Amino acid sequence: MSHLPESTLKHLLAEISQGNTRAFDRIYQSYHSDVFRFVMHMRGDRADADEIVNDVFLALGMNPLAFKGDSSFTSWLLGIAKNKVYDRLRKLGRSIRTESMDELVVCDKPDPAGDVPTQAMRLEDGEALSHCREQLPDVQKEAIFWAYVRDASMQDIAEIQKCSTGTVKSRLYNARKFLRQCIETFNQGPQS
Amino acid sequence: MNAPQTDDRRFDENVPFYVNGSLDVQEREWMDNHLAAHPHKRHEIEQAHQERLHSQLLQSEIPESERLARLYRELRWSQAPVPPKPASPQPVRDVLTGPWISAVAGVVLGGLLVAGLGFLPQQSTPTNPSLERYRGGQNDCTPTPGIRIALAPQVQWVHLAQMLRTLQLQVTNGPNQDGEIWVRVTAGASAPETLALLRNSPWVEQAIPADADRALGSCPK
Repeated sequence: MSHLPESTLKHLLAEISQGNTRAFDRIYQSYHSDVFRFVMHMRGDRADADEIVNDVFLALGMNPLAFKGDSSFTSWLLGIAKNKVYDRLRKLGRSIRTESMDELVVCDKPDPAGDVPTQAMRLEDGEALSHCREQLPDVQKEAIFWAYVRDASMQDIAEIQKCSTGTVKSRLYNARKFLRQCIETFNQGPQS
Repeated sequence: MNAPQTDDRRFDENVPFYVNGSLDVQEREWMDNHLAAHPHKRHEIEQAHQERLHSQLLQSEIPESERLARLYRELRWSQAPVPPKPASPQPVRDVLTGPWISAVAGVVLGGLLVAGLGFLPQQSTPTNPSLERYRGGQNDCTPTPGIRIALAPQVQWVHLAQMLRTLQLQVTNGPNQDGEIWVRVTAGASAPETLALLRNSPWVEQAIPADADRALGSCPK
């Protein structure tokens, strides 16, 4: 479902604050997919993603008027999602890599938790890509999300990420280069 | 990082925007020419297509109803007041249960009895819109905004049905040979909002306010 015009959004958010569940449903149906895909880009685990997305819409339902219109509604919602992802990672004791790195070290083991059949199944499901994408710095994950899910131009992404178009191009270039290497390693199976 | 701009680097950096269709015309032409000269690089485009497709196909495996039910529980919305629905034509059975119907029916039947078969007294002329509907006038002729929609060529009936249901629109005319339909916005719904939603739909090429006569369709004069 496409995103809603700003005037409609404001009306719906005001309705949610009055307890109108149909207004909530409409926003949920319009934005759930993007939030879920964004979270999956940031944290490639389905179970976690569902929990995080639930928390995002819970926050929206509890305080629908928190959106002031300073940014686009999508950016605002994804900002909440990013914070929820970080909260989740902190709970799990995982480090958060937000800064871009020119060169990433490709994991030499496809998946420490997975045996070969599991990896094969995951490959079929496209989970190899999710697995490799999760290792990217967050700014690169975000750039991929905007380019591939929202079909944003490099100028749009530069505006969203508050950087130059050159930086956006570099981020995506490095991200794709890393993904290619990581998936190749993944396909080779565990190194003995 | 400021890497020297080689053709290979330029190509690689443009790939994501080539596949998402956001490259400007000049860069797109450059990419097309580069691909023509280096056909072996097509696999990179294909790979990027796959990555994009994978990104766009990600979706939760939990049914939406379950996800929403959980949210409602956590928001304690189970007892939330049901919002008022937009005004809609009163159903016939509601008209029948109205206490005033006995009086009206009494007057009409009384008139028939007094005047005999084939003669209808003056009071049979309907003045109450609810009663008029009860008598078989199914069209709600309350003046409501009309919209002319030019449908996209790829639209199928299922899309149209879904759009009409979602936006609670009533078809009053069409479709014609140009793929246009005229619809009426449900009473109580916001016409500007409906227009905005239609214009955002991939199935709609154009949506503009329509003249009332065409939109109202077969409403009796």
